[in-house]
Amino acid sequence: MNTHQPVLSVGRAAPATTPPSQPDTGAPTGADAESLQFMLGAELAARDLYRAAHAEGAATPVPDLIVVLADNHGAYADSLAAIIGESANEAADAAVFDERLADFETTDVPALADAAYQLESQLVVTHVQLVGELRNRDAAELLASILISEARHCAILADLSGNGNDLEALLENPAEPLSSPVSSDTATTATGS
Amino acid sequence: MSPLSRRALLRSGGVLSLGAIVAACGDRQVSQAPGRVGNVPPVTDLPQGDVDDLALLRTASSLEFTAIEVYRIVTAAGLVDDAYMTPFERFVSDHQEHAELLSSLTTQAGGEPYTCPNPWIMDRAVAPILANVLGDEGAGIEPSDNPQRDVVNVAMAFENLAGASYQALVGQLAEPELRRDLMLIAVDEVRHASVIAMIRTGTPKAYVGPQLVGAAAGAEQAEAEAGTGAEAGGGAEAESESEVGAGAGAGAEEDGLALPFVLQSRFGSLGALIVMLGKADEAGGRFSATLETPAANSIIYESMSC
Repeated sequence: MNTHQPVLSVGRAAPATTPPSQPDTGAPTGADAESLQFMLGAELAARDLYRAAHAEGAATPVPDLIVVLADNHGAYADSLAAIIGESANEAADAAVFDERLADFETTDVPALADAAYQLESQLVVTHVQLVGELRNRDAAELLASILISEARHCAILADLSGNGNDLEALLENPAEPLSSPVSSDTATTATGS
Repeated sequence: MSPLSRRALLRSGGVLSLGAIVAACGDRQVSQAPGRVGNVPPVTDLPQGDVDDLALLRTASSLEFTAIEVYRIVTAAGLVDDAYMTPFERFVSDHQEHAELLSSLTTQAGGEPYTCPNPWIMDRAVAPILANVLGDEGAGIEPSDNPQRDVVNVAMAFENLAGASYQALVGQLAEPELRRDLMLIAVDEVRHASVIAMIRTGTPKAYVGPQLVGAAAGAEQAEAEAGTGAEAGGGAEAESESEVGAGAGAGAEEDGLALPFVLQSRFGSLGALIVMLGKADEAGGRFSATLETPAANSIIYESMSC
């Protein structure tokens, strides 16, 4: 993740800044850790689904596109595991994987792209939801950097599925979030995480 | 007087004379502050204020109005190609919706909505960019050799800047729910940028930048070499080399400007965005502007108004 922070180029810094009210950094705990663990499993499932598609031999117009997408989700999973810490369970979410595997095991590129578009869209809205629930700022920043790229995945896949001339399809995301085991009420009232 | 003592005297006098010259030329006492040589205008203090959620929301609003203003100017100047007209109209509509949402959030947070472009970005980025696209006779700047191309690159840069800015604000906002609201907007911005890249570069070429394609090919090659022996490794190597070469060659067009891609990095980048435009000089160089996510100079503090 690029964590570049711009520096002042001219003038003096304002003398007073208000730090965020909760300094929640470091290893996430409580509901935050549970939410991140869920997303780790979902990202691993996404990686494995793309690997399954690659193994099936779908010929995308850009060589290695499926590999790039698989690698990206693998990198997101690695980052989530790193921020969760040693308690991270690096197993793909079976529900996310099993429900979609048949749609990914195909050589029909538009059909594969459509299935992948649905998955990426769900990942994006789930990350967005969690960014608004996590108390841990480091974790929120990580999810923000992940979902920005996944939103770009969505645009690529919308085009690849044959909707390149449909501005709505390229720009809109009507997906529902993945079902997280952590309710938003629990997450927003978590402390010390 | 011996030569030695004369030299010592001259040296002493030299130092005194230099000191006198410096004193005569300067109108201020010697400062302990670093980094200034000669006489400069007094440093202008930044507006006083806290960088709190309210200021960040107002700054976000200013980014939306900046984008709207950029689209308005280039459209009014007749510099938008037909292929981009409908998307740009949609983008402006989205930015207006974002601005309304941010104004509403500002009001809910007890503040005064900011409904103007960001003055710092307008002065330091937009003005010089437009001067190099449209030309500025007074400043000796010729119009661009391809203003339509430049307008597309500028739009792409500002959409990416907006997305990166919201991403950056996630780490600064105190209220978690605001992070969600801003990232919903950020998703819109990066998808705007994606659409521009796909039209500009063409699909499927625009999907993935050469860096990521090259990384995937390299990883696949390494995996093949490590896991399946020399024969399979050799095959993977031959395939990877052609893909890496094609990717690297696909990064620039004939006029030397890089083509945009939808996906150029694995994670959302917060790095400075550099947009190159304008007429090339004799050496082939062009004007470049650097766009950065909001910092102290571009924050819209509570004391600031349109």
